[in-house]
Amino acid sequence: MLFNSFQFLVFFPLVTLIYFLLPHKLRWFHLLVASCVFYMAFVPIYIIILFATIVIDYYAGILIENAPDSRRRLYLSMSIFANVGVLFFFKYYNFFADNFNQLFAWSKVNADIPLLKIILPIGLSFHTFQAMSYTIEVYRRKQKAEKHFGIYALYVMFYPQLVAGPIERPQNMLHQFHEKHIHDNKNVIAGLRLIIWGLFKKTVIADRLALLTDKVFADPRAFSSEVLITAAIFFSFQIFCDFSGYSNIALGTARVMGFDLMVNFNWPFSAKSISEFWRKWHISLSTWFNDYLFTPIAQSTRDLGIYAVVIASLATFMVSGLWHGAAWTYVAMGALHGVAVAYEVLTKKTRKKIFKKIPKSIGDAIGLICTFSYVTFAFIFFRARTMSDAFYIVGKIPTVFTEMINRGKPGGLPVAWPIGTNMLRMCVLSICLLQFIYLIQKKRTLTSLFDSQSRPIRWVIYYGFVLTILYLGVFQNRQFIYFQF
Amino acid sequence: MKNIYVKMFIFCLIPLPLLFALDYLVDHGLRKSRYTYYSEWNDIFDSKINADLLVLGTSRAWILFSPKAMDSAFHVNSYNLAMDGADFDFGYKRLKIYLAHNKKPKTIIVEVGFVKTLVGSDVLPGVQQFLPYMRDSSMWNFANSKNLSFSFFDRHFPLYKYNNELSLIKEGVMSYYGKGSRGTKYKGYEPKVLEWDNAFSEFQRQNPNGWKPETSKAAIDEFYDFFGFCQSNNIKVIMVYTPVYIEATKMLVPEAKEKLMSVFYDVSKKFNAPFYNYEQDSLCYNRDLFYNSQHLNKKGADLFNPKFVNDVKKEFQ
Repeated sequence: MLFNSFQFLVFFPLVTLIYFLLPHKLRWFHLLVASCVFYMAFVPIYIIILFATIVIDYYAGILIENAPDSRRRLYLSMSIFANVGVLFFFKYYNFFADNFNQLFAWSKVNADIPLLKIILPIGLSFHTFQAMSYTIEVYRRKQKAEKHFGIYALYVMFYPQLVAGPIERPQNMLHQFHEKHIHDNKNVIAGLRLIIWGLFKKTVIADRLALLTDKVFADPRAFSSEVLITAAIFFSFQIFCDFSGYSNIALGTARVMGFDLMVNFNWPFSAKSISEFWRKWHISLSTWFNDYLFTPIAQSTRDLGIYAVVIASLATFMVSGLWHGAAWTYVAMGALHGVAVAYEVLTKKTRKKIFKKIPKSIGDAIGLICTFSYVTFAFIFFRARTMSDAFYIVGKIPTVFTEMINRGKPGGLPVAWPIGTNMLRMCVLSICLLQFIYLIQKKRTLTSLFDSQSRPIRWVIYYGFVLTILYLGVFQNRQFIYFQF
Repeated sequence: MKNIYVKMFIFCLIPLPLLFALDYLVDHGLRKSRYTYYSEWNDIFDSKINADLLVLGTSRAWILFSPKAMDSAFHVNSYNLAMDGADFDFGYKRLKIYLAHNKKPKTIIVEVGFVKTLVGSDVLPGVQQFLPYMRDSSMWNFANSKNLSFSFFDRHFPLYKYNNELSLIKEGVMSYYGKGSRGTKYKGYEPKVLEWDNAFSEFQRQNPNGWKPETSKAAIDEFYDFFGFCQSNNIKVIMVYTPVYIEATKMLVPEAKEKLMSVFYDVSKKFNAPFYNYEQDSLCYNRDLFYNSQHLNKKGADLFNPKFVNDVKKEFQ
């Protein structure tokens, strides 16, 4: 069930209404059933896999908590093995099998690992990571094991964040399921605002930009370098609006019922370095990797000094790339970010010295442009179907000036855009609007700015957003990009 | 708790009258408009056509058969009812809607070819043409006849069907106040003043081993059904294979071409429908008369029409 679908338009108010009508002791059950229905709307059979991992991690949590120190690690390892095993089987088996088969063929070894015909369970990487964070936190004694099976199941399955996060921590979520949430108008208003803002970003901006990016990335060789560069830039905004839009809707639906989920995005394109970008982009995943991968690696290699951070960054970003998808394009994207962060770590002092000599505003602008350009460059690998496509696009970028000069010559052909001029204008306008909203909320949060307005003005703004979604939104039941992960 | 839901209800209610009013304005405006395909639909629904001779087919017919030439040559009232991008069955369905509002024609000219006639695709051509008629059940069934192109919301929620169609909304409002587009067609006919584009060379590159047009059994059955329908209604049908650029004809895989042609000849024989085949006409050899491999440009149409009316004249004597 997609957040931008008619089914969800019925599902969400119904679930919320029943939630508030039920007594507190039955609410967990209601939410669990609703979450099952939500999940089963995709591929029903995969609920069994989810249920199996929930059972394993639930008992692992209790066993870890009660076990003597000598056995705690064993139970944690078993839980992680089960989670990673499921993830590996469904997401990475074919990738590794295919690569090994190519390696065998190349080295003329007569072996063939069979490929499996399986569909990746939706949101597998998200709920697996969320489940793993529970057992790790119990192991670290930062969280008590949850004794209520239903509540633990709900922690993994809570429908607003089940398929694409935010990847929550048990410390933030579990207690919320035990608490009684009373209907609060403030929560309802704040939640609905988030939903509208999320839908706006998804349907008005992301899915509009997708009209161009989908065509270009499907067949990049059919387009000129101007179109390829535009598609790369559009894709950066598309994926931001798509994923942050999803997160807003997730946060909003949870907020209406009184739940607080962690904020996943904080205007990442305002970052002035790649390190800062990752503190603003997919925050729940970045912090997950920071806590459970980067920090342990950095600590275990701390004898290497600053190179410990470099090694940890490279390793973390490579794994992060692979987390996104089982393809070399994702690994390349992760590696590019890892290299950038490593570079920033190694040159921190030098860069600081240089930037001290130039005015702050110029330094910030340079940082902003360089970061956005690099992120966009890395996203080419993320979006390209194959490495060959990605390299083709990257190779075409430098030819843009030659192509533009040739167009200006007599007989030069105009740029062949895959969408109409009006639609292209709307795409640019939607990006400008996004940036305008960013500038507005720079000094004051949108919520406080909103609350300070009189009701008629607030309503006019609400109407503006709702009517724009209805009449200028692109509704093609397009999935959220991160659902595939 | 109640207060907020009352406010939300009021919030939703307030714009509805305005949206319904605008929806009415745009629908009724477009139903007066002469803008692109609305001119034919409006003529149909306003019972303004009542032609003796109708032309059915795809864009190949729409840009080719001049009612002016036919009117003066055959002394009839003709109208070009061809649909851009439409499979044959859409033309047939349109004919049925036409007959519900207009008198029965004596003769129908059916343009046939390889691209659309016997291909059953699920694509609805020119979705926008159906929008102002969403609440008309015949049009609703027509638009949703193959796959569900429109939703409940499109039909009933004010203006929702005009999502991302700002230019149509503008045209609707302008037309409502009599300031809409004047239209560029004459009785449905619109020749194209265009020069040869290079799309065909890309097509050739993509199909180095020739091109095999697909056919569907459902489309063939529909084609036969149409001829049966016309026969039972005493409507004479004339089939015309309109000129195609010769290099495109050469690209057709012989077996596929033979299969399609055999259907056309069989129908012609079975239903006693004259078949005029311009596949090898001299016009097909002159690329300057086409704007792409399937469509003659205005220069081509101007040469074709006198030739055609002269050839077909005997059918009207």
